[in-house]
Amino acid sequence: MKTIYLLVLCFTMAIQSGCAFKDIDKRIFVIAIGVDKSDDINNPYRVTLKLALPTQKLDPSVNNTQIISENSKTITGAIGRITAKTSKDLNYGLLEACVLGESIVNENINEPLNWLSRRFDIPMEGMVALGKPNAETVLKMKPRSENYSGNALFLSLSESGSISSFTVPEHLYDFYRRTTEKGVDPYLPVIETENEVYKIDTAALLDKQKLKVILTPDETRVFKELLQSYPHFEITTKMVDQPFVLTIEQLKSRYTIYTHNKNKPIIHVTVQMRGIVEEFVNQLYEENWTKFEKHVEQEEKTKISSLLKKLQKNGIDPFGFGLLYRATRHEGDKEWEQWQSIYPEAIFDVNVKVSILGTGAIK
Amino acid sequence: MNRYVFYVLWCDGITISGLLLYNLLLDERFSGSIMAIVISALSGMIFLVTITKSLGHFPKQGLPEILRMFLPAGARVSLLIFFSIMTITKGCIMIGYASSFFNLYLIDVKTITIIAFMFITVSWGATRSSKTILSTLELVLFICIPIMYYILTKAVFSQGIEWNSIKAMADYAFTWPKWETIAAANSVFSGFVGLIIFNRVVPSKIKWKFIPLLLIVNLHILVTGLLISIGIHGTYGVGNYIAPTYSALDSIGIMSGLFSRTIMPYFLIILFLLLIYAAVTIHVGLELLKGCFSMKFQTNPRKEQLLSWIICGLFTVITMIYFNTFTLKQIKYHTVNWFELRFYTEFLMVALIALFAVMKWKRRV
Repeated sequence: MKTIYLLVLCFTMAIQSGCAFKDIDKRIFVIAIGVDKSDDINNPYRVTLKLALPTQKLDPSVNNTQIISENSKTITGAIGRITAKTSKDLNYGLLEACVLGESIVNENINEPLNWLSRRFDIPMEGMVALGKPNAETVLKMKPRSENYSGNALFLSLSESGSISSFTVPEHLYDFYRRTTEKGVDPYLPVIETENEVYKIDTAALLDKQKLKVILTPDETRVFKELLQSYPHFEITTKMVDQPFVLTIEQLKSRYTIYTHNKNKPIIHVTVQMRGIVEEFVNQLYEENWTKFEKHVEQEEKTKISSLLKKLQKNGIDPFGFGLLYRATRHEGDKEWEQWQSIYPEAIFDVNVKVSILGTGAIK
Repeated sequence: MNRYVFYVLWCDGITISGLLLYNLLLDERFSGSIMAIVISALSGMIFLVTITKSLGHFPKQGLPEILRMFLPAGARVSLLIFFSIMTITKGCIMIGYASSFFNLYLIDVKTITIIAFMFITVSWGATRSSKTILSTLELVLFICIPIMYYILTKAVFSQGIEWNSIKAMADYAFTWPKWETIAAANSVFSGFVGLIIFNRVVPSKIKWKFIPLLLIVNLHILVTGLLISIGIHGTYGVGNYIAPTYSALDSIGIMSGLFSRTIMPYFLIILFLLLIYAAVTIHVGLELLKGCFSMKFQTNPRKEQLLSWIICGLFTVITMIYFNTFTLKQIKYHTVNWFELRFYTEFLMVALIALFAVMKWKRRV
């Protein structure tokens, strides 16, 4: 009897077709995707894929990526045409960066974003960015420092490599959340190419559909400081005609919304920072540090206020004040309607508290 | 407290919430799913306490033996067949759902193939003796629970969670839920169905202090999953996903050794849990069905095994046809209705056993 069972089991193995899984040598990994607006009116989307080529050893001088672009009416159509050009099966499981061209962000991001979120095989953890002047140029560039095929872009965007005070990382899931959630608006880091390096030092702010404003690098620094609660930035001011630079090590920011006075809603922004002096020519150890702290506080306060006012004027809310209002009031769906009338009239009350922890290795 | 009783109840709660309930409850997030969880916890605890107290009056007896003492043959057989079909269907639905979800992420394999292979494993497990199943259950839980908690903890403390979205949901906590939602949420506590058979080998006695513990471990996994999904996708965005919790876990990088996408180790755990859960459930269903037959039949191991395998094969074919014919959208709609029927069935089961316990107690007095 047992022999019969075994034979039956063996037979079931035989009728399973063996080609369901494709081996790794029949697959090619897509590591970055770029979506642009093309010049062709009939085929408005230009999709660029960056494919990782398998190499035997790690050599930064070898070009180990392949770039393929196609125009089509839809993104899926363009991918279909790209598939016709490749011999291996495209696999999106390791897709790390999605670059949206400036032309498409200026018009409407909904279709590319929808496509990216709708596919199950694209990891939601991947990074999103705005490519300037277009996504294709960004993907075509190969930085000199790159070891693994195409991971330089991911290292700079995700902060797993360098951490810059001007690069605001944005994940795909967070970008999608910000486009659907009431009370918070999306943003994107802007990538520009400059001979063999990526320059990512500005942030683009969007409403739910398209680009509203691109911040300057200085504003981006302040934006990142308010957006994230972990600090990696420097504050530069001038004291006694000398540049004075403070590296921030700890940062706490808190927002509160007061609506007691209906005509004058106030948004309190409290930022506490503690840092170490990194650059100052004069002796400062023996002096009273309060003077320096007050000066930095004043400077920082004006920068933050002007950024917040700029956002308010453009009608965008990437810090999620609206969501905070929804979270702290308990009136259900009515909150959102109230907030839309509150935000344009709100006054920002910015409080900055800076403490100097030390003067570094020398006095 | 007998630890095996605890395992049966625990395994049921985490598998059902991991596979099915997140989706159903997140769809109703603005119309009272939080309240539904609270109400279902209350009703679930009432069921559990009643059934464990009542089964205490029937040591080393399962539901078939209890019914044999009190009911005429016709009523006994029809009740047992109804209960066993409901129990086996529960296992089948879970296998089908899991296969469909795995298929969404692993596009290369067909749903029907996954269902077939799962059923081979599950049927083999379900046809073993009750004691074997219980000790395997312990082993699987020991492997899975730490990894599951590791992933969930990683998710709760990740940067991606927006706590303001979760706080905003508090406005909808006191909305009165629909009846379907309560019935669905109640299934977290439906593990006690296993006890009506496992009472034969382990006494289903629970000390009072373990009831809050059960409440905590079952609700904890359920609520954490809901919070992660809402925190990662936002209050409105979460409604746009087919499988919100899977997508949410996909958004968190764990960077642990082999795995770069969190969803893969999570699927592995869900697969382990599902296999043992389905084996337990189908085993209970088979034992109930065997109770319809005479004692002479039950003592013949050859015939008994044959019957079990035939029933398993039958349900495999039905599940494969069902999940191949309908889309996931239709199946979800059917499942909500099925959950309601399951609630009434379990109510009937608890009520019957409680009634017989009272009758037995009175006779003795």
